[in-house]
Order: sequence, then C-alpha cells, then structure tokens
Amino acid sequence: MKRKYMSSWGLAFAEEREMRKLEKMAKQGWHLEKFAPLGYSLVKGEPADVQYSLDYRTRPDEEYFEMFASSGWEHVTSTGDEIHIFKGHPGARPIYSDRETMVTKYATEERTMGRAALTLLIVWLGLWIIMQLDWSSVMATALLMVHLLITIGLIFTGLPYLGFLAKRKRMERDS
Amino acid sequence: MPRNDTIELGELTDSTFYILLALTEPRHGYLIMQFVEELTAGRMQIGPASMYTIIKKLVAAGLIHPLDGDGKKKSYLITDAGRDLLRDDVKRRQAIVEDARFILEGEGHV
Repeated sequence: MKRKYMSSWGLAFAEEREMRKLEKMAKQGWHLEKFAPLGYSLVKGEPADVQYSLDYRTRPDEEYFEMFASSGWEHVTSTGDEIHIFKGHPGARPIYSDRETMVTKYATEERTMGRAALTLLIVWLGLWIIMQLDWSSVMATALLMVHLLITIGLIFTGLPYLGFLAKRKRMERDS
Repeated sequence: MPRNDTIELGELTDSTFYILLALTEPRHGYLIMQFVEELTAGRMQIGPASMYTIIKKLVAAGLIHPLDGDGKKKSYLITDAGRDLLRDDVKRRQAIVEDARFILEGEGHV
C-alpha cells in the first residue's frame, strides 16, 4: 500500500488548517491512516469527499465513540488515548454545536500543557542556578545536555500552552 | 478556569436545556440528539462532542443519572434536582419572552 507523510505545525496552532488540508488530500485519494511523529500518515485509496474533526478527551469510554458513530462520525485514529480524529460525510453535523462546550475542549488542554510547562520551567531555572557553580568539565557538559533536553521539553509544552490560551481567549471574546 | 459554568450560576445553556428536557424520559445519547432535533424541527442539532461533554457534566452535577444498561448505549434520566433546575430555567426564559412581548407587541404603549 502506498503511504505518504504529512507534517504538522502543532495542533494548538494549526488544527483547523490541518483538518482542511486532510480533506483536500482525501479528495485526491490520500486518506488519513494514523498519527505519525510530528505529523500524519496518509494511505492511498479512492478520492472521497469527507470532513475531518478532532477532539481531545482523556481515556474516553465506548459510549463516547458510539455517540460519534451514530451521528455519522467514523473514528479514524487516536494518539495517547487523548487526541481523536473522526471522519464524516460533508453534511455531518459539527461535533461541537455550541461555544460553551467548545471552550472546555481547549481549556482542558490549556490546563494540562500549562502545568507541564510550569513544572519544566521550575526545573529549568533550578538547573540553571546549579550550573553557575564550579563544576568539572565532564559534569558541566552533562548538566548542559540535561538543560538542553529540558529546554526542548519546555518549548514543546510552553508553545502549545500559549496557543491554547490564545484560542480560548479568542473564543471568549467572540461570544 | 473556563468561566462558562452556567450550571453553577443556575442558568442553563440552550443545549443543556434541551438535553434535560429530553431526559424527562430515559434516553441514550443518540436518542437525545434525535429527540431534540425533532422537537425543534431541526433548529437545534447537538453534536456528539458537545453531547458527551454536557452529559458528563450533568451527571457530575447530579442533575441526571445513568440507568443500568450496557456501556455502549447508556441511558440517562433526569433527577429531582435536575427537574427543579429545569423548571426554574423555564420560568427565566418565560420572563425573557414576556419582556420582549411587552415591548414589541406594543403593550407598553397602551
């Protein structure tokens, strides 16, 4: 089977844009198969007119997927038992039908990312202070490596946090 | 965090209002969607993600409770607390409509 990789700019920033892009790809016969590292894996098939919707839900039960299925949304793939993508006919009803529940979708993600980013920030600062002490060159290098890893973690939680925060603020302003 | 917890304010959103109305009889998720759509002649369509979110919230608030049944199509029924809140919200909505009638239908000018 022919496969193709599509990269993601981060769901906190580009969710809508990427769902529309997946729809365009489906029109050309490239269908979403599953999440891939920092993107999506698409598989070749017949061109189809579909819509994609994404939802965040930690460890949902069967009832959750049943509600989607019975209202015309087929479950395509999930990652981490947390992010789920559904496929529907072009006329299927939107999965979120009111602003109040849509705000909770992003508020939960914002809280999770915010907590992770804050924890990493504290560790990052603590380590930075420790690094100011006098260390042997081996130790200094090791500390630098760890610090670098934490910096990467901080970027991958801090940026999504800001993205979700901005999204929620925008929604609350519009309502 | 989200400052949209209308249940705690004692006010129901339109979706929550209709879901409580549907659950005056035992119904599962999709039946609630169908009931609301038929009752409102298609004016109100509740999406599955909104439905799931609201049901979880109503259960947590003690306004509806799950009935025994298989996990896939769980049915729910309104509780006494839910019924009281629904009645209060009907009154609130009625008052809004009466205010509007008073102005728009000219009773204010008689």
